Amino acid sequence: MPLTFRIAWLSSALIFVGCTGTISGPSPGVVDTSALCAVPAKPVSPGTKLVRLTHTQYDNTVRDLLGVTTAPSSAFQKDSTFQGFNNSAVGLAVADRLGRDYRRAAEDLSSQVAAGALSKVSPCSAATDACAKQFIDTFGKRAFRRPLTDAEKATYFTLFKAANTLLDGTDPLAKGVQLTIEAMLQSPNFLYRVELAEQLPVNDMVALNSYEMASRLSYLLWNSMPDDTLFGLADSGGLTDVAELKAQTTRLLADPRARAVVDDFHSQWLDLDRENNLNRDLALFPNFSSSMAPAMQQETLRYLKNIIFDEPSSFASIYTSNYTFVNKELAALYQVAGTFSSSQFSKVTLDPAQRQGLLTQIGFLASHSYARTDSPIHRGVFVIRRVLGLPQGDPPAGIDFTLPPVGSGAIHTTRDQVAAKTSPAGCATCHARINSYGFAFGNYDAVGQYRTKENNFDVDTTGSVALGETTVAFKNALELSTAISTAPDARISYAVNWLRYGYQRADNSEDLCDITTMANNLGTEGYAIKDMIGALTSTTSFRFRPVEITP
Amino acid sequence: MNRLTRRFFLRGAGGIAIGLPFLETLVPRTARAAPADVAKRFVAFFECNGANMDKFFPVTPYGALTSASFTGTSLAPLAGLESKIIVPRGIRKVPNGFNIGGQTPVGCDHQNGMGGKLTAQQLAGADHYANGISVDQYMASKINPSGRPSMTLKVGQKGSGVTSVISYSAAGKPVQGENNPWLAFRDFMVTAPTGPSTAQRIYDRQKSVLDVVKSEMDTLKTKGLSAADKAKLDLHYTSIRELEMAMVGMGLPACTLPTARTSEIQAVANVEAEANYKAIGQMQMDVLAIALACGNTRVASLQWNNGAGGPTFKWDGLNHPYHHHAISHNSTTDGGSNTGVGGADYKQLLFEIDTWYGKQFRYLCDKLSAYTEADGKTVLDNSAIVWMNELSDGLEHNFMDMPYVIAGSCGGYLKTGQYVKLTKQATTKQLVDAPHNKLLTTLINAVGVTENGAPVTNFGAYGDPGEYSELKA
Repeated sequence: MPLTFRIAWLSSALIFVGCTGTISGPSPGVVDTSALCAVPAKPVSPGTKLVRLTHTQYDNTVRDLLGVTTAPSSAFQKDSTFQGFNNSAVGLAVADRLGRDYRRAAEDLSSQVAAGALSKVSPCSAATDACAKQFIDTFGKRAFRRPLTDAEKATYFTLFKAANTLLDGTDPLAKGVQLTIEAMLQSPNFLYRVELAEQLPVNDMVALNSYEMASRLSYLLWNSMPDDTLFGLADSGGLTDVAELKAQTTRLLADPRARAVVDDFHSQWLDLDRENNLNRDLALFPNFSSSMAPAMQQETLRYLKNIIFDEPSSFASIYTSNYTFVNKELAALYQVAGTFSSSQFSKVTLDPAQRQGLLTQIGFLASHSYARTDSPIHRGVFVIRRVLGLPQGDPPAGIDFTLPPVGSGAIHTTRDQVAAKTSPAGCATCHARINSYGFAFGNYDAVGQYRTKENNFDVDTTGSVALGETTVAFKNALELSTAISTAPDARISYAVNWLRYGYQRADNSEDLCDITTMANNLGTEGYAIKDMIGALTSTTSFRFRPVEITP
Repeated sequence: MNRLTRRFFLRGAGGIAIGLPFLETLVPRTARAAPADVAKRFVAFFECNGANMDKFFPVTPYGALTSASFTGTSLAPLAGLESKIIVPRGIRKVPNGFNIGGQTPVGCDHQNGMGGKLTAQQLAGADHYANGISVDQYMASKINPSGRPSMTLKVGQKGSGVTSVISYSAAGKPVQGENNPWLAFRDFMVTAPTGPSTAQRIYDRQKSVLDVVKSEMDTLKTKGLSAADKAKLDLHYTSIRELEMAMVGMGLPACTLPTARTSEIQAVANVEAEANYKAIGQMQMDVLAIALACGNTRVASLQWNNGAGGPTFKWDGLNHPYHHHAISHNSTTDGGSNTGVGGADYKQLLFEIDTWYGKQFRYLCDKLSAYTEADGKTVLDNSAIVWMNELSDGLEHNFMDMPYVIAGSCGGYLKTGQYVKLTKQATTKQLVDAPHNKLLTTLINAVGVTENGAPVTNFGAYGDPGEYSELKA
């Protein structure tokens, strides 16, 4: 692909600012896709035919395969993150200690299963060769997510029989089952989603086979293995049919397993881990505790699931709704009247003059603050990078971060401190934009509580920002949130991040039509976000892989 | 080859000599690269957030260390070990970072301190991982039995980004450390009651599974995989084949700890709890010491917490109000700088932290000194255990005058017992010479790594070629 196109894509802002002459749309905020989609997209490969299961997928898969819910991956070597997500297809490998971790888990899980009811994994219970073969066929197909080849069946039958002498114990069936599972859980055919797709290419595209499609579907929408329905459709070749693919997408999205995927995506996109172990001055903030992290995370995840699943509403409502979910501790910070418990979350309406949507939630505000004061810079950078998906560099090294103290000259508030500190021309290049976003949140202190005064001075939350093609002036975070809710950059960022997470790779210029289409749909009143997630399963990239030359 | 030449004896605390590994006959010939003499080892003992630079270095002049050298400094816990210690002075980290010297690096200083210390590389890419292999993994690929990776251990929370990792298997390939001593130990330990027949049965079973896995990988490789995917399977196979070697490798019968200690290590429930920081750290060092002694690994890194991380020290008589990173900035929080730590003297708190790490460094040295090898020296004598830090002055985020302490002569390669200035400049806080990559090159040669039969001349992408002759015996 042309390099310049890639570079343009790196900055989605360029679509609206740098390249307005060619790509700007017919109506404000909607990208004209006619040129982008005129040439059919080429499928983009995740960069590998061996996509290793993420740790979450491993846990979910052994749960669905073996009925074990112990989350073995908590003892695995942690994966490194790439592009903000921990599921990069090319980044995930079995290296260093992980092979040992897999072995340990396979040994533990297989002995656990063999000690329990074998009927959970075996269709028969006789100590016969016929039963051994039946077990290998049925369990093997579920473990490898495709039927075993004859050679594989023979290999595992040999192993099954060898178990009788290799393992201690008296029950040959249990021993055979144990060793077979121990090996299959370490097999590359289990640990990777293997996508060999050997069909003949058409137009330089190779259609994935039906079993590979079943796994792509289930791992994208459930982070787990296919269920019986998907296996049945794969057997009959049904998943190469576009209508069936859509029907299954709808079915999978209605399953609770999809809710966990949506949580996983939002946790990573919004960096909710940052809310862990917040160190706050409790003398100043007696209603706060660092142990509230799970509650803050739960609040945001439930709020987003409500918008996506429970009361489906438009993308814009992420930034405009004036309700949230609170437990007792959060209710105190929000100053919501009523009776709440620590363990139960209730949907509550917040004062629309104080709160509006995701960006006025406690979790974001508190995790982008210091021990005693809020941090407009961290809040602004978060909005720019994560919410709007715009490039924003790191500060140069060797900076003295000390702010001028409150009380010196006309410095009364955090805004005054930051404005004075970043006023030199070298700083202002970036901070003009960063501060504009960050200052909008001046109504929220270091733990996200609402305030109108800081140090007995009125906080100034006004400002203006360039959002896409328009400059938007705002009075406070509520008005800024409203502007963001309809900003094309916000929709594109959300769509791009879903594409990265869903396809486990970086975005690419071949994705432009898909991404802009997804983003435009998000801008349509009444369009359900769930449908945009579902749209990930109908693209060319999802159904095909490019022809690759194998060196 | 005479088997006896490969035999080496271990004398643990109990003074029991242990002989040849019983399963050695099962080890493939290629894995038995016979050591001509006793193995040399390297350990990176890694502290984060910088040091109190006023009280870290010896108080006696350059030259021989004396019993007065460490008095009143963070090195006081090393008293008595002076003859086995080198304190090199004036080393600067390369690339410079700190926005000084025209090398404005990618990423912040903490990222550069973590990513560059063992690699002497710039950071790269959107994720700011180091742009090359780290010295421990490089050494391991050359001298570890069957090329087994460096043993990467960690104390504290696991992380997933550049500030949580110091070891790299290649450019952009961080190796996250294992923070659970039981999982680290379980890979290679042999418990006392386990006799040869039990180990043999485990070996036979695992081998039968591995054979199946290997055959499936071989089949996959015939299915039109890219070179990268084939390499991925090779990497995977290496990762599990290591187990086979670990099971039957050299010194297998000695890879054990006292039963009571093994039980303690197995029993720890929460390895990330700060309250367990010291206990986990010492367990990791016990595991590390036996792994080095019994030949499971010759190279390791022990990383204490993360760059810009904690913990909050509340044990061993310390009751710090804030966590290590905040204190290093004379602040109450990660983002603050020089705002004070609630009335306390932050440099005193840092001194206490450095001294605490000095005690842990001593603990490891003592563990290694307890093992006497076939040449009559201790494992410590045959090793270079290097205490290093992410930064020098944490408040300044400085990369000049980096704190280093080396224990052990690495089998006589290094000249111990000295405090030595390596920069030719008047001040040790300098950016002209004495790059840290030369120290890495020196250590690489100290453990006996060669390239095409010749000494290694330059490691990393920054700094200068050559070794520090001042450090060599």
